[in-house]
Amino acid sequence: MNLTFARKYYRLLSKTEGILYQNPLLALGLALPLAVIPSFSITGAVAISLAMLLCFVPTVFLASLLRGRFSTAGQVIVYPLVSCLLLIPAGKLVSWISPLIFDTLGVYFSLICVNSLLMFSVGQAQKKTPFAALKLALRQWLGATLVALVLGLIRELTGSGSVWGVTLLRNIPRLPVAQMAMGGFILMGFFAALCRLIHRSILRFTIKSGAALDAAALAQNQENSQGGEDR
Amino acid sequence: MNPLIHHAPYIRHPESSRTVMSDMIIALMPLFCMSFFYYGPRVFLVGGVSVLTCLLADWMCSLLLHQKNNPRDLSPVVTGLIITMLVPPAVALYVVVWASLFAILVAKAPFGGTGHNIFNPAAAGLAFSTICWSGQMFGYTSAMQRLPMVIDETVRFVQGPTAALKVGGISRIGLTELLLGNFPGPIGSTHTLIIFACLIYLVARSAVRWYLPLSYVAAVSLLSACYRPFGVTPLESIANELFAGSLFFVAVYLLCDPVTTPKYRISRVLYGFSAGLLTMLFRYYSPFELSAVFAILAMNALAPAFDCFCEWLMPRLHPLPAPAKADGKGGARS
Repeated sequence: MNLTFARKYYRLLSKTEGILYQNPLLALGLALPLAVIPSFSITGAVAISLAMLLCFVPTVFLASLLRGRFSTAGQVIVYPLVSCLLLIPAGKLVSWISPLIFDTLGVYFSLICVNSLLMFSVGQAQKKTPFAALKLALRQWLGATLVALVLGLIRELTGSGSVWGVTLLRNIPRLPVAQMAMGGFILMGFFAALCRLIHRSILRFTIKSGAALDAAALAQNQENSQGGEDR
Repeated sequence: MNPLIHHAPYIRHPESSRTVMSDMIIALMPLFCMSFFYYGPRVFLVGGVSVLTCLLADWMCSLLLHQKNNPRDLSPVVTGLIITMLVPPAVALYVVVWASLFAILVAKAPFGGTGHNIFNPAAAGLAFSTICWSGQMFGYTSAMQRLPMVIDETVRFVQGPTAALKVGGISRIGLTELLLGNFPGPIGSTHTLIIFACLIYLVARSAVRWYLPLSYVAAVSLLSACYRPFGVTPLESIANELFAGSLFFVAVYLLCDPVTTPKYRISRVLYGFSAGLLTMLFRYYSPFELSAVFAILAMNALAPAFDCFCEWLMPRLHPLPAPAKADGKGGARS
């Protein structure tokens, strides 16, 4: 079996680790409520992404700087506390984007401080250099942001027919459930399934292309050998 | 020695998924005919849209999962027909399409398709539509009003009797009307007499176990007799609660879904009784009139728990006889 294209595809994919490949939300299922519930609109998704950038990324970077200083139990206490402190300026920034969003989703913004994604990344940062940990945190943040933005866009468009408050779809039946938490989780599930389907389709295509390449090479060899015999 | 090799299954039964689903379709057809009599040809349009959407969604799922589509599988047709029976006759078609899509794409296919779904697909689709478009789902029209294919301003919407029951009142509908379904309500779930006849057919065909709807109806009757409106006799209250909405239909067609019900007889009785109690609780305390589908969904989630409880209970109720002790002198006594 010729796996040249499949290997090339995986090499390309591994460059997007954390963003497309091994996405923390779609592949690992981390911090689902954090990304799903505030992304009822694109405004909410942008707000949560900015707050994450200010809280999550510096915390993971700090974890790599202080690696080995705390036990696992200590990490569970210290890093969420650091993230809590960083949430104060993040709240100010978010209220600048949308004055009401921090109050509306108060408890979900607080989830930025204590969630599975933060603890997973802090654990990973213990084995990495500060630069590598920063890269990891940025990739994880970008992956989560990408998913939240796509969800926010679809949910706002289907739920209220608008994007960032600007009405785009008129006279089309709305889907109110899209803006509920239930709709967000269902959409998230479908999004994950779609990504998996696309990945498997590409993989199948690369394997087929490799097989075609093999067949062409075999035919060429046979032609060459026949030509040699005729001569 | 028989040299022939037979492949599994070795134990065969005349009942199959196809026969059960065929029986369900046969039992739904009289309701369709009665609905045509009450509301005109629009019910066929709603039914056609619902069934076609379910079939298309099922086919699409098979295609995506690289599975061969099974044309002998009639479960999407049954799902589509049940959805049709529980929506109002003047419902917008997009509501029916979304309910059918949700039923197949969310409640059925992701769990493994026919025979593997945890929740009843039709109940899930209807619950979804009720949450999204409750105005559309409870806007009924008077019976014997022939509806146009396209709903316009000439169609008058009225409240169903379940709206009065929900707020603790009662609508004074005669018993004959209640049994014939001659009052505003969903397309095919108010024709009590026909549903009862279909129940007898389904029980006779072993597609439905009689004790399951009976336990459900018993629980509903008990609660409606206890918590009846002021000045209403217990029997009147029971008749209104059971027959003035889609509760009896749900008891026969949704509750008895062979895939989502528990396995054992005792657990099925408990399941039906609990579903009845939950239906009445949802009717009193939830914002929607169509409480039965939500209760069914909640009980679907608990169905394996009922089986586990039954497996724990049965050895305690009927302990196995202790094995005879060997007397040590060799041989068993005759």
